Amino acid sequence: MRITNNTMTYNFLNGLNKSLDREYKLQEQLSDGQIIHRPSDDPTKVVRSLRFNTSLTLNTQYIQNAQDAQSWMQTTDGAMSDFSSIMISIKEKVVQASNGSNSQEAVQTIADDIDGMINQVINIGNTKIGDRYIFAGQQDKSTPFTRTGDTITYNGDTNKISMPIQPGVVSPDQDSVNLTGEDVFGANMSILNNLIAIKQHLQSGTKADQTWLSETGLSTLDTDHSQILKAQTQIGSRMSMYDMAKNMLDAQNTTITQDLASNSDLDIPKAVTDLKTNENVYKTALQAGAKIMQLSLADFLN
Amino acid sequence: MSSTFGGLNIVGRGLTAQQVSLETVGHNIANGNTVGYSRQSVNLVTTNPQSGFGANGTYQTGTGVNISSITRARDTFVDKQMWKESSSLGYGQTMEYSLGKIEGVFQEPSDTGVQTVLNQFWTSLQTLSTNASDEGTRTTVRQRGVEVVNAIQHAGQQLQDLVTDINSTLEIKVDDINQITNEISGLNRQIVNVETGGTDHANDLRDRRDTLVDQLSKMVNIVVSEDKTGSYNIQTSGIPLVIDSTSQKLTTVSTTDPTYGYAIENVVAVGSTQSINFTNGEVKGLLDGRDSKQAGVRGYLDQLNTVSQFLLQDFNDVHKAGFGTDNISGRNFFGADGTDYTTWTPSDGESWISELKVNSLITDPVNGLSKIAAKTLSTQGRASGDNAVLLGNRLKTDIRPILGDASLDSYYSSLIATLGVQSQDIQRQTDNQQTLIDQITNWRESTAGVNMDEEMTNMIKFQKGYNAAARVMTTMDEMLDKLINSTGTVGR
Repeated sequence: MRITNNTMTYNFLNGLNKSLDREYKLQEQLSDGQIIHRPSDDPTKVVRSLRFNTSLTLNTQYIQNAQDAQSWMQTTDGAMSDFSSIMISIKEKVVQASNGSNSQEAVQTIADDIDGMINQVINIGNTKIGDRYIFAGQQDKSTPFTRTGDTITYNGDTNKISMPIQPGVVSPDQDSVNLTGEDVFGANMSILNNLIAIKQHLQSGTKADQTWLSETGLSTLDTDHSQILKAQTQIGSRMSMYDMAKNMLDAQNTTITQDLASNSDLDIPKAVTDLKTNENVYKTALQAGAKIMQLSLADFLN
Repeated sequence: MSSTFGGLNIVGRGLTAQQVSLETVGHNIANGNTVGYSRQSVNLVTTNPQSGFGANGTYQTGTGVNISSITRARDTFVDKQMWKESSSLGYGQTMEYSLGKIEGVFQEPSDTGVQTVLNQFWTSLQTLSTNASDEGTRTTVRQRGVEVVNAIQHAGQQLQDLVTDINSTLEIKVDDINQITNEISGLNRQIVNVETGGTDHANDLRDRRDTLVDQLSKMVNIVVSEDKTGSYNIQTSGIPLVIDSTSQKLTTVSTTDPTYGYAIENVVAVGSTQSINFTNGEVKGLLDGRDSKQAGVRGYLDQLNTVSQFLLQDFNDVHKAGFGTDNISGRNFFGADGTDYTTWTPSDGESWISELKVNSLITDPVNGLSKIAAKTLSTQGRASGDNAVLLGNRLKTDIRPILGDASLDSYYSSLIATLGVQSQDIQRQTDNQQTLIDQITNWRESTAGVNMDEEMTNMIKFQKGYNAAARVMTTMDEMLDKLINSTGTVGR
């Protein structure tokens, strides 16, 4: 094929441009360590990247939910333990009051102690986490237990608070994290009413009351305490389920992050090597072109 | 017997021929870098010989050299190939450009694209589901909803801006085409004038005309045929652009897109109303980039429109089934309050995208937050987030017929994947086409290009020829001098 000067320059410039194009792409990748910057760079990787990002968002949210659930249930658990200790103290006091060796005044003093403990129970029942009441069901912004005189009203409801940790619909059997007032204290706050009844008997302090206390009082206290312990166990098992789930979610998080990185992160050593190679190619092309393009017959005629 | 002064004529012709050849070499060198120039060479022929009478009869003496023509070195086959492939290159480059801009609109993968905004909206709905009585989480849901609307409408607006760009570029291209065809028709006339008689070649004029046809072929697909008088007749998609010394002007007519309300410009021949159906070239690239429902702005606007429709219909369905904290259901989250979007259809100039907004009841600063329907039953308390979970599911994983039996996530990833594949493919095609054009350019250059070394050699050749002829002239001059001045002066 006949070669002219223009052929040489045209091809020289084309080759240079191709070389610079490769360098430009490498530079773009090295500047942020990512392989893909636009869908056309690698469509399959981009779609995978979108999917991984979505999975990561889901996973992060569920981890957050699990953490919120854990702190809610831990607070609940703490409160339940407090209830349990108070029930034990009340029982001790009632045993003391009903052993038959106390005067009426002594029994009435014990009544005041019990009254104080009932108030403590109500305070613990109104525990908040953040600004949400943990025993109020779904009415978590209104104080669940209020006492006027000897009437204790429950202002919450019986619904469950769900913190889902997997896709799908809410199912309170699996993802509820709270105990409502009824779960803790029985229907119509029976446990609280029993405590009030015990306090009233103590306040009146007669022998008949003391007998009542030693028979009915103590047995209701036992039943009520077991109920509180049962509710606490419920929360405990839900808590361990959430702990397991959170561990799984954490492990998944690591996997997804790794997948995301291996999909779109740049292999930096390879890219730098490619860049250096390309630079050499570019330099060689420039040198070769410079030498050839300058010569012509005119240089040798005189 | 030959004539006395005939020899001078022979040498004289020789001098002229060498001089013209040298001038042509000069012309070639001077135009070595001119775009579209084909090197010219002088074709020398011997003049008719003369009969002389000699001992055995007649003998033929030569009478010198003459210039029969100056022709350019050009391969018309390669030219035709170049014009065909240029159109494809023009098409590919324009489509590559517009798809690249569409990629810029969607900005994936990044932290600022539509996918991230949708993910954030989903996250806010999930947080709402676990803490629905909190004002903060409700505010976040409202805010993220607004962001979704903004992201979608912004993308829609950018796509429409691209349409405006394309329209104005189209007008410029049409002006360019008109200018070129006008010049070609002028050159046609000049070339026909020069070449009447059938013996002359209008080399430089033809070079200029071919360069103009190169430019034209990149813009539109053309069919070039040369008639007997030397005129180019150029047609595109059945419409004649240049016939002899007349050219057909093109212009643009404007209509409005019924759905989105933007102006659409089409190319017509002046005096006709029918749009020209180009099959290749930059102009077709612009038209496809704008109007194609698969790979153009229109197609991607349609997909955004479907996403907006999904939000206004399917997402709202779930929201309407839920209750706000005021125990009222049936409210839209997106769109105007009270409108039933399952029966609403956009009128002229309206689209689902333009209708998309967060319900003004919800954005109302006084009581808007309570209108977000997070619970599924009115008997549930303030902290119930069951409907928020359903809203999140609808946004992410529910398969809906309006999205082609896919979830919103799948639909959007398909959109991005298709965009990526189309863009990558057109880049590949354009690169291939460019390589082909490079090859054709080299072929053309090989035939028609000026090689400096060749011209230098020719220069020496003609210079020596001229010198030798001049030498002979001097010799003949001395001989004649002897004859004229020194013969018949015996004894003087």
